[in-house]
Amino acid sequence: MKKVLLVVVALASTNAFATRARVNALGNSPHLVDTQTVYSNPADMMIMGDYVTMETGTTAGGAEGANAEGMVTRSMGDSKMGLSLGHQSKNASATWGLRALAGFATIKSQQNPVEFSYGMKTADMNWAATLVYSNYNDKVASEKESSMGIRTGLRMGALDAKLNIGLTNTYENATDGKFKGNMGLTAGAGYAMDNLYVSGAVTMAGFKAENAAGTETKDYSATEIAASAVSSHKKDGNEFFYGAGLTSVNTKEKVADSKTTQLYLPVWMGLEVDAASWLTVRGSVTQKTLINSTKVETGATTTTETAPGANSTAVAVGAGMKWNKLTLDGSLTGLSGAAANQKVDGTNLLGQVGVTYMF
Amino acid sequence: MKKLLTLALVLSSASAFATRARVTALGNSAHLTDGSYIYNKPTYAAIVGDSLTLESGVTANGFTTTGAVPDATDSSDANLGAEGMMVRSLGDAKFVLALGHDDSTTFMNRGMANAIKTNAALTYAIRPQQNPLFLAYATKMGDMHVGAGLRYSNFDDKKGDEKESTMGLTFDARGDKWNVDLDLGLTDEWKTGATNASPGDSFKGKSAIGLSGGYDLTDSLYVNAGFMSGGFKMEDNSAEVADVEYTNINAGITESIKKDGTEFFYGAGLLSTSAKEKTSDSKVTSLKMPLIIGLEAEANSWLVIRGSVTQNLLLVDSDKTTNGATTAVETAPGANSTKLAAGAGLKFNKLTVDGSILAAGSQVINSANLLGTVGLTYAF
Repeated sequence: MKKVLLVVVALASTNAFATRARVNALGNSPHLVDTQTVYSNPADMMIMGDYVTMETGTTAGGAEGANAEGMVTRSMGDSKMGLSLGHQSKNASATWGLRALAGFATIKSQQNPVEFSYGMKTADMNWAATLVYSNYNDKVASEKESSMGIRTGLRMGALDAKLNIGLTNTYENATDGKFKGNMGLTAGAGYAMDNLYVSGAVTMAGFKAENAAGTETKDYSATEIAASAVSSHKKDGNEFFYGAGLTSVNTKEKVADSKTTQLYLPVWMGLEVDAASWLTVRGSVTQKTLINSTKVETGATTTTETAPGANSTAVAVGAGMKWNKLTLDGSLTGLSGAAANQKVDGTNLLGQVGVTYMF
Repeated sequence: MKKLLTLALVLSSASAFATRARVTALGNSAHLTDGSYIYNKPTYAAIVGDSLTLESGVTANGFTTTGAVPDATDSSDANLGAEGMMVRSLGDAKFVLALGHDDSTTFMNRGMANAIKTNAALTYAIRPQQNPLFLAYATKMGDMHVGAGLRYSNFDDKKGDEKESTMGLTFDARGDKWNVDLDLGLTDEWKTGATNASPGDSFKGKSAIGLSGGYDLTDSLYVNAGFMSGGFKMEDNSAEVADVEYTNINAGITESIKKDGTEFFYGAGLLSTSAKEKTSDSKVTSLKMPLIIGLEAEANSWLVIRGSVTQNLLLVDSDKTTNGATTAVETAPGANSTKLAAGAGLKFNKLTVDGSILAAGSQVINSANLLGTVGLTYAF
């Protein structure tokens, strides 16, 4: 009975917090399970209760995390379905993702993206898959956008794994030309050992762009390999964690013959504390420390080379307010990000607000 | 049982406060025990206990210090950067890892160089430390606590031809009634190379040494004294533009009265500073007697209010700046120096949120002037 109660408490704790404001405040630590991590490993929805979450933002989007979106999940016996509206994928974002690199004067991100998820519990394993789709066609202005992808994931005891495949990713307009994404791929796995969670992931993505005359203007590819370890300590509903990783990023653009290589050692520490029965406060500090090299070359010319690089230390702080099954999360904007003004006041209170309701 | 309760109260009290907003509000009084003092006194990790502290701020901290040069006591902008510190137990010992903390001596030295640049209208874009890292270890040896810390930063822009690096060591020891710490600045350099847009600029810190100590004369009376010496040379386009050396000597006495979770303290000190810039043959000397009155009160179970008033006593308050044979500034006693600093700490179980209030002469608390310089501490 005691063990059952512990499991219930643990699940309730996991379910109580969920939004992109939360994961940002916690430094996007790889060990987190959240309604936002469902967008990389769909099987994460299987270990949370049914929920509906809404993230504030604009219809047109903009910076990462600035778009409006929402998701609902519903259980049906041992299976679960999910529907997400408006979530922007990095590979198809025109402001902070691949499409932003096309060099077009006008380019759109995914328009009205929709995602369908289905997961099932099979013996000791939870698995799930998501279909991502967006489509837009302005026949008068001759402007089109479309994307399609599949995400799959599983959780089996201490093990989790994910495989995300970007199938199509295209954009074109009559003036700038065409953007065509290559097949995108993210494969990752993690393993929990008591308080320690180790994980690794490989991401490959790219695109080709051509102008209105059909001349190739960009042929871009990127590969990121990351490995990390996080030590997490939970007590009395509070969590404290710290971790380190090693990340290698290589990008290449063949038309301009430019190349970027990065290798860095991110270190982070974070906490999530039940300040009161209705209030959760969370925060993290991150830094690329000791190993932090970046090199950008165009042809035979090196345009950037830092090893180690400049200041990267950033603190992010957020708060979550809980009312029964409803949670309202936000980032404390004055205390978060590279330009934090150190204030908590009427004009620097909650930002990037999201709401989650657990059924 | 009573002893256990007292111990628990002391531990929870010590763990509850540990941010730069707190020590700023309390006038940086020498008698305080605070997590932010671990950078100079690693053994304080044992008093603070296992904790994680997050200080809000910007990623790319810079200098805004201008005005009279040299000024060997100004490092105020060091509090604008984002940083965090973790204290963890390893058996009887404590291990400390801190990310992003700007060392006050390094920041002060480079801030002085930046002020010299501003006054001389030089093209000289000196950086503070980049991604500074601090590691410390403290343990108990018999009745004594000993600790050591290492601070390090490194930056190398090979294309832009610009480098920055620092390294320093700090050692301290503490007994029941006494404490002593030694700080050694080993390297403190910034320079631009031939291909930089502003070539041949450099800053090279001289070996810096700081030694300080304190003693509890009685349960409420604390005396302290310290010595600090350092300096630097700076070059603009490979020509030396400044050669600064400074020495600060201070001593102080503080009476602290604690009752019902509230602390009231007052004290006086003597601060002598002497700084010399050889290239322009300028010299700044000062002798001051700073007085402080402070208070930290538990307004209720979740709220701590703190504040302090400081003033240089007019009987001992002299400043003199000479440029060659010319006296540029000479005041004795000097102008108004009375300052108020105040802050509040919000306690939520093991989490404390500290911030400053009524900052920079503000007399207003409203929705646009609530908490500033906010930091969080979680004691686990």
